[in-house]
Amino acid sequence: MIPILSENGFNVVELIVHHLQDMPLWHLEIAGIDLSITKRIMMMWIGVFFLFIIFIPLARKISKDPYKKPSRFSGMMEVFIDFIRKDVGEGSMGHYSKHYEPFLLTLFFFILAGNLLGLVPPLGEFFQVTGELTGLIHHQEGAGHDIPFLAKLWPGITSTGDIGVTASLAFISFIVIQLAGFIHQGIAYIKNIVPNGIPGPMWIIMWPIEVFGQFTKPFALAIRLLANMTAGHMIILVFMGFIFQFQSYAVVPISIAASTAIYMLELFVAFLQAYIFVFLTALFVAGAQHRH
Amino acid sequence: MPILSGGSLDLLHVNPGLVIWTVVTFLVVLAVLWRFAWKPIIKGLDARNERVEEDLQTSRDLREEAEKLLSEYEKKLDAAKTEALQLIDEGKKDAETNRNKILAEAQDEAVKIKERTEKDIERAKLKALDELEKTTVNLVVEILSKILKKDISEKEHKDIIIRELENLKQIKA
Repeated sequence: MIPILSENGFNVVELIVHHLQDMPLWHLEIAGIDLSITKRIMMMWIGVFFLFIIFIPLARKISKDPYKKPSRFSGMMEVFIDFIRKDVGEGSMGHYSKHYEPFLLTLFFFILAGNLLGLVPPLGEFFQVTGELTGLIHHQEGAGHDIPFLAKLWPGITSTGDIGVTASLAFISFIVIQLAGFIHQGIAYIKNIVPNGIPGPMWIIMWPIEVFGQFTKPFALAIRLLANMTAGHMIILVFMGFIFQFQSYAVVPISIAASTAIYMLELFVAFLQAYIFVFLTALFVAGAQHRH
Repeated sequence: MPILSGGSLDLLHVNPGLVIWTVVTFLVVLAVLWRFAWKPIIKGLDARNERVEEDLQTSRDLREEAEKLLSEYEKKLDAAKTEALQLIDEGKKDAETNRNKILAEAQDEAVKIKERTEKDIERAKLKALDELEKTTVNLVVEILSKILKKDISEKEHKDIIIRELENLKQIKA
């Protein structure tokens, strides 16, 4: 771990880097590719675990008796599902949305889980530190700079705050968008990328622009999510860093109040960005389905 | 492209391992949730929506029917009320006429009875007078015959007349 409070004084950049930088937890290399399990992958899997334990029992309950009144939590989940299906799916693609619903739902909840878990502090580290302080867990000698096992289990980082993750999701969206285009329009999709009513000579300019546009759309998706998920955390860390930077108790209330406010905003942004990603994907899919 | 100098946070550095893991994880999640979550959930929610829609339609129909019935009954009730009022009116009118009739009849009867009684009295009076006359005549005749048959003195004569007149007085009384 990077020392946060060095002899030379506090370095806010080091603090931010320490909290936002991905790092491998278990090294793994297959066929020359570094496939180490990193903090973000661990958090992603925790998110997946939550998705499984929330939605699979929910599905079982619904299929057992669809007419039963759902519990509060299930009801809330159903509201989300309904929202993605009706407002996002059907709202942009009409009745074609049926086949894309599972994809949109998975995408939404996958991103949402990543966003929300990024707001939870590293529980593993928390348990490790409290355990060591109370003497319940003994610090393993000889482990050196290795991260303790508990800290590895819940490293506490935003999985969607990494260009690798957001770009992968955007890439999957890109594939789905292009597949939708070819499935609905056939090979004519290549030609139909250019909007209707463009005079012949303009095609020489328009077609490359439109093709290029197909790549900028998912690129924008990736950058938007990454930036939103990183910026809020940075601001919170900077506010917290003030305390250590100024070494003064007077800063504490201000820092706590400001980061709490930003935290609340982040909570909203977590939902908003998951929604925007899915909504834009649905819009792009709808755009690829029909010629304009 | 290092964004933060001093540290080594490069926001736009793509880690290929992370990309592979993300894609693999997402596809696995997509497959698992598709099969075990979204399919049954969508089916269940659609079934529920359909049921709700049906129930709404049924309740709308029922409501319409109920409203129709209500207006029908209200109409019937109104008719019944009017009829009842009419009946009451008729009854009142009947009672009035009956009363008047009975009163008139009673009055008539009373008048008749009075007239009859008066007639009866008149007749009785006449009869009594008649009888009185007859009796008087008889008495006179008797007295006269008595006077005529007996040779009596003037004083006797006088006495007789007085006595007979006394008799007559008694009878008359």
